[in-house]
Amino acid sequence: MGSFSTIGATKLLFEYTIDELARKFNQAEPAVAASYFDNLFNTLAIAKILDNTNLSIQKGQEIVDAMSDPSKIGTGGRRGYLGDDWQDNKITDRDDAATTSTALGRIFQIFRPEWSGGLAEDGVFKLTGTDEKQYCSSNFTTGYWYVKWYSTGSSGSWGMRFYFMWVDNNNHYFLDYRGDLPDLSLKKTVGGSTSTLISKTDVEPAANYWNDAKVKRDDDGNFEAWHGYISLGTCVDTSITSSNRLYLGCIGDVDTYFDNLQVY
Amino acid sequence: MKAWIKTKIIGEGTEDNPRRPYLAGQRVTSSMIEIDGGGACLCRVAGTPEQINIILEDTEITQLTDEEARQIIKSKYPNSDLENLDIADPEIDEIAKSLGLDPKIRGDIQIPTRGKQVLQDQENYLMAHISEKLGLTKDFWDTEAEKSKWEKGIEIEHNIKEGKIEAHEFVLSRIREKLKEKFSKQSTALEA
Repeated sequence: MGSFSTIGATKLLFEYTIDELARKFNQAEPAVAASYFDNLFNTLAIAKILDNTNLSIQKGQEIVDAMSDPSKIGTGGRRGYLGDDWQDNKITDRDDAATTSTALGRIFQIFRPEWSGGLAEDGVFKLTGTDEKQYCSSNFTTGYWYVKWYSTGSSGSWGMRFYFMWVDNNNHYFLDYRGDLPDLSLKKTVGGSTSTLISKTDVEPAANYWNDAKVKRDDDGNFEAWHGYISLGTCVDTSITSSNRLYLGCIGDVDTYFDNLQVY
Repeated sequence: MKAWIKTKIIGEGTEDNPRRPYLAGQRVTSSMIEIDGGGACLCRVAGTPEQINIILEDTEITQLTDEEARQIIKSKYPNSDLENLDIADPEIDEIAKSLGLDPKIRGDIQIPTRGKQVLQDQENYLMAHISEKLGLTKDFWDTEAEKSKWEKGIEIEHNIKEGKIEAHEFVLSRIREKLKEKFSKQSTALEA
């Protein structure tokens, strides 16, 4: 990474775009990140901010807020997303989760949430129990929900369930991607009754292979679901309008892995 | 092949036996919204022509036009339209495969040109590649458009991107004809 302990080096920071700068903070070791702050916000550096038409005080403040307090993401114009790469091999004692949906702008930061259980090993999230599912807090109701998933199943029931806009056990949406049928579905459970909104029965996810699952929902309740880069279908539903959690779950008694969760 | 239908809802509402559209026993792909207090649904189905014809012949299922479907969608969701209730057509994928095209090229398109959904753009893209492979040129589509309700081929494309089954099936019917002609010539050549 090199040293940024001189003013000359600090100038280099200003040559980055806001996104690049945010990434540098995100990826830096704590000590290096602290030196960024020290150099970025000393008197001379602040003068440079004032002189730089592309970097306003507000944007600088957003960086400080975003880096120092993830709970502020989504409020007052701060930007970020809930995400997880499990690179810390932990599921608890972590960054706090961003809890408010936000239009992703020029600054972003991944905030690793606290999980109810499961295993974090080798930089991925692992579920091993029969039909096991684990949750983290999330009150996102619009945007994208994305995760990579990998199942070791090849016989019996296998696949994954990605519950989002989960209010309680009786009210939530979920992607139900079954490899054994096959059937890639978007479903809803309302008042304890489950309905299939989208069902794609001719696409087969691959066992022992990383698959991508994604779903989008807008303010009007319009959904679109994907398998990889391919859109499976669209539908509209407004039965559920709030969220407390999201869940990642496996189907059957099959080891299932998740990675690169992003909610934004 | 795609079709709009109104059908009853079956299933017990459990995760393993969810409420879903009645589709005359056909395992096809579908997307639905509940109507009539949840006892029925507006559904877009997609499958082989044989499967869709069986569904349309069922006395408990009613086929709808684009306009009828739009009215139902708008009555319940004023800010949504045809493109917001759609399902990827597996018939296009099968045709693509028969011509040596990988249907996964759908994924080349990630940004919608109209509306907010990408599905219709992906399908239009794949059908354009199929047309090219079959020698169905811009002039061909302009001529076909003039013979029907459109003036230019580009208008058909716009209607596909709006989620209109009429446009989707218009293109697909001509692709089917050309495909039949192509394989008929091939088998004749083989016999000779």
